[in-house]
Amino acid sequence: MKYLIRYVNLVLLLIFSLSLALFSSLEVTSLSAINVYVGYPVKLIVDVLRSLSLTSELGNILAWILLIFICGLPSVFGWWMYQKDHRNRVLLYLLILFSISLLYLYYGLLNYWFIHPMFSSMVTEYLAVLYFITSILILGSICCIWVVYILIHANNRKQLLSSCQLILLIAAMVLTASLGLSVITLIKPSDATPLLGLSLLLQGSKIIPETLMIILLIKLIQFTSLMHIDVFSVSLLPKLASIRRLSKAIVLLAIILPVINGFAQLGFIHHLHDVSIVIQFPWTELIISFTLLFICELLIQGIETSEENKQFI
Amino acid sequence: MGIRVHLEDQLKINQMTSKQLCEKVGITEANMSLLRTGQVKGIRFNTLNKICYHLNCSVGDILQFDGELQEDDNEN
Repeated sequence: MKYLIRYVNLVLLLIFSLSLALFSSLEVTSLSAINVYVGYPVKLIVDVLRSLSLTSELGNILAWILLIFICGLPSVFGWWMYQKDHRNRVLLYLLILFSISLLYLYYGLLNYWFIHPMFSSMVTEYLAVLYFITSILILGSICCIWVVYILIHANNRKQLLSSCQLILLIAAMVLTASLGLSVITLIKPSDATPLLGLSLLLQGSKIIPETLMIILLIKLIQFTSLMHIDVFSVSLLPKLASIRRLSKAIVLLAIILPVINGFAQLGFIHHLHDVSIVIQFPWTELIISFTLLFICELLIQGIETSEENKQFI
Repeated sequence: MGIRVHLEDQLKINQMTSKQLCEKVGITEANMSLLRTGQVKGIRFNTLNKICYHLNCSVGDILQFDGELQEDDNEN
């Protein structure tokens, strides 16, 4: 983990290269294709269970045993964690709830009527979507449980900072992979009409804030490394100033670029297939950057006050 | 200057060194040096209390107003 943090630039560059290579080799980089890949593990388990239960009565029993085993694993893990440390009681409850949810999800995918009576008639059209949603729910639940674990065990500032660094690193990795996809969508020659310029502008207005966001996350990871030593140290001031500048840049670009994009769409309106202008503001980047600006100001004030207090004996 | 610090006089009267006073009061020699030269931003009541106790004097014996107004560093 320490090496990952120290060489975060190299790690992200590697992830970017891998995502470029992966997405450029895929035949279709549309969202629906990615949904299929994300939902594939769930589909695999459901197909195995279904084929096993349809073979014979014994196969059906084996399928049930396998289903209970898969769904029960989180509870067993939670019990083991609780035995190791009794502070993990909340974790145990969450993992039991997670097991019950898994059982509901998988049983529902095997017997569609279980989720909703209407599903049995129309679910085959939405199978890929259901698998994708189930995968996302499972991943989301795991993330929530992991965050709760961090909060339970973050006894001191160092542990909390380390956990924060890890979360920032994962966020940076996910954003970098997403950036790879955006870049591939930009450079793949989809059409050579005048609308190419418009699509370049549209992708550019997404890629630029995404890239700046990744750089901001890298700076935050490096900043949290410095905070391990002293929270209100003068040595943090240059890094804070840099984060503040970058946050301001992201806020400005996140507001200006979509508006420019809107004007460009207006300019190309005669070439568009349907007369609709879309202006999408990157709200996540805007909110995060605003929040960071505010926090930077507070920390700078805190450092200046701390320095002044040091001159009091 | 504003407030003048007369710590040297009290140390001579009590025949105490600066280092001995630092150890009794619980401040560093660097901070004591800053206090003697009047370069500190401020002094806590707790520290002043300990200095007066160990030097057996009052606050006025250590700190005196010389009639001038000292400008804040921020205003400068």
